[in-house]
Amino acid sequence: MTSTLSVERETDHTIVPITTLRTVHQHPSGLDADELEAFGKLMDDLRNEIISNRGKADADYIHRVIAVQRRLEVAGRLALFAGVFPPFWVAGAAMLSTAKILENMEIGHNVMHGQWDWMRDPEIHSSTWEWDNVCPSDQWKHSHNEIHHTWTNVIGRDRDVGYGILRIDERQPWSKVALGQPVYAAVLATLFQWGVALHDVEIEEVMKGRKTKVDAKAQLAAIAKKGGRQLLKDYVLFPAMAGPFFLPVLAGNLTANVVRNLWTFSIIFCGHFPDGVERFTEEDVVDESRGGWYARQVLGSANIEGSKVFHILSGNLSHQIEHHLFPDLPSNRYGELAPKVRAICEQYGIPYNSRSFSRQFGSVIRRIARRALPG
Amino acid sequence: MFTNVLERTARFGATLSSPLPVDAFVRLVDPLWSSTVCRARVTRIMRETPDAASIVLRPGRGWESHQAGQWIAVGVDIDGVRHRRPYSLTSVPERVDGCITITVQAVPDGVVSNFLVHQLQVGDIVHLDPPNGDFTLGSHSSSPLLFITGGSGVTPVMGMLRTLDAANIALDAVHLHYAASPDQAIFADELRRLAVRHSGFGFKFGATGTGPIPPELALTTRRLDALCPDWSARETWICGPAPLLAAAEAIWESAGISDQLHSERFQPSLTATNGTKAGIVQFLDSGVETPGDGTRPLLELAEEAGLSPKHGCRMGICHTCVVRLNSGSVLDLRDGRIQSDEGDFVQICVSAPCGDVSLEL
Repeated sequence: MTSTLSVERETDHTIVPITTLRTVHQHPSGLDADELEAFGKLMDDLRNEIISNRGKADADYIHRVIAVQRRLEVAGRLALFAGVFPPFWVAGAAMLSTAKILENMEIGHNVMHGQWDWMRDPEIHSSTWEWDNVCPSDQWKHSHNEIHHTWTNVIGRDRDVGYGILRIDERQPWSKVALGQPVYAAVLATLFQWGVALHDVEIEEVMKGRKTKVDAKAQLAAIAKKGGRQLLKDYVLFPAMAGPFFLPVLAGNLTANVVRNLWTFSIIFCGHFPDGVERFTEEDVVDESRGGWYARQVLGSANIEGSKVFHILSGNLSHQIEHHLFPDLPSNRYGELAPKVRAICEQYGIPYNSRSFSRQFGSVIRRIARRALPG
Repeated sequence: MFTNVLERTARFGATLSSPLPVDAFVRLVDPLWSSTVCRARVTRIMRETPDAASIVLRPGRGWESHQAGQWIAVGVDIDGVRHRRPYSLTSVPERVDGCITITVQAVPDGVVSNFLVHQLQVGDIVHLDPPNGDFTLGSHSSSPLLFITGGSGVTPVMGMLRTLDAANIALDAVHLHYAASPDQAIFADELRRLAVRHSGFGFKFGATGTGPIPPELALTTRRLDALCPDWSARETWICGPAPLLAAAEAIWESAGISDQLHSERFQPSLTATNGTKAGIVQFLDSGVETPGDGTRPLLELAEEAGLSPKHGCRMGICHTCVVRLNSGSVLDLRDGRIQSDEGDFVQICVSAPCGDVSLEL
């Protein structure tokens, strides 16, 4: 059995044609092939509805978010130059943190998903966007858009299940190393952008000999280049421009990066690791139909309830279920899709996981702590 | 020394603004200050006919001057989507006020031309590509000239005539212009006034109506002999619909003076086709061609033709495989949407060719 699996892995992406529908295996949703097809059809209809009416209002939205983000960044950096006065430092650090959060979440992540490609603006396009994060965009698009979004929560395929360092599911093997995972999680949260950057290097694959060292080195070189530029900007050039007042600038930039790291870690971990979210085996996705893929996205994701501002700051990943169903629809439309998706899921008996931030995050923390121990 | 300082400043700025270009922030102050993308602000809109307008644009940084007769690709956002179309420049190059003018005829069902003529407002921002085209007078400014234009084909010629007039060159030119009706004839009044001021300039107008061209107005050797007896001794510029160009090319060829005829074709309009259509797929960067039956995705066709395009999910979610469309139409197999504009980004794993297609792959 093990050898069959590794052969499958080497054949790269064996995605089943969209039209094929066969039930060799019971789908984790418990629906049969016909039900899954009908469910998939309803999801396709929702998708087509948004595509047919996306237009100027959506374009105006992303242009406005981008303009606000850039103004916040400029204002935050200017305020930090006057950071020897505490109110300026607090305001500057807050504005720069918000700017970095908006840039990574509502803008960068979503632009790189191709959510705004339909505008045909070469400056707001998945093929050209480079985000304010040490992770190079092309590596992110591979590890996230391609691996994580195709193989959502499939243990052994989706490398976001624990990010290779955390044990999330009881089916993942336990070792003594797992005992330290509450500490690893805290370190990962603080340095999240570096974790994200190293994610696509797939060090464990290199160690297992499934990926060449040459490929991994090329990726590391790209990370070093971009990371170096990011460090130079935030920790050398901007502080140096403040002359004798370099320290508040340095501290402000460090704070902004850490705040962004903690926030993105929290939102992203709430997307797939709270209680009730399912994880899958490779057998679960054999011959999976498009309807089956849709249903798996719902089972494998969790939403966070909150205000409009909260949704924007989360990059609308608070609508993680809708994002996983329709990763390339404009994020500002997930909110209106959510009640429709929820109603259809209820109709088909598919659990729709949506709770407050404190409940989702609390269960994530408990899970990380619980899985540090065997079982 | 000075350029060195400038370069260093630019590099320093780029590091501060990275990973975005400095432009991303400069634009917040004024969109025209961008140096990587040339933008222009609409400063005036002049109605030429009920369906045509001249649009005066003030280009920002990065604009390079044009030659009379050239065109520019203008990009506008319509309902959130960027569209680019080529339009002839009708203004004299290097005007004192730094502005340029394009003249646009709204064509039936033309998304961009109707937007520009009927909805564009003074103050709007448009995107410009550098001037392009070799439909220019070159070294022939003082030769005897003949212009033949149909419809909005008059626009590049108007640019040339205004430029000659502004340079105080004594015109030795004849202009034969066709339009559907006198009130549809762009620039007719200005051309008549030009003929009054320049004794060496003759302007002849023919109203063709909306249907096929009446036989007595068709471009023939006999008609040319009547309107401009020394036509074969003139350098000739022609711009207009395909049948007019074909007629002229045949006449000039049989006279053995094809090298005296300079023609500008309208861009063929890419009409969206509905349903499945077989055709040839050209992968331009790899120089490979392969037939498509209109039902299978471009990615599969490329792989069967021996290429290995970058791709990911093969189901239209990850956008790893997007490729620029050069010409033709493609059909999104998921929802039947058609993409048919040059420069469209196509997800090749879920898009089938619709007739002949060429891709930058």
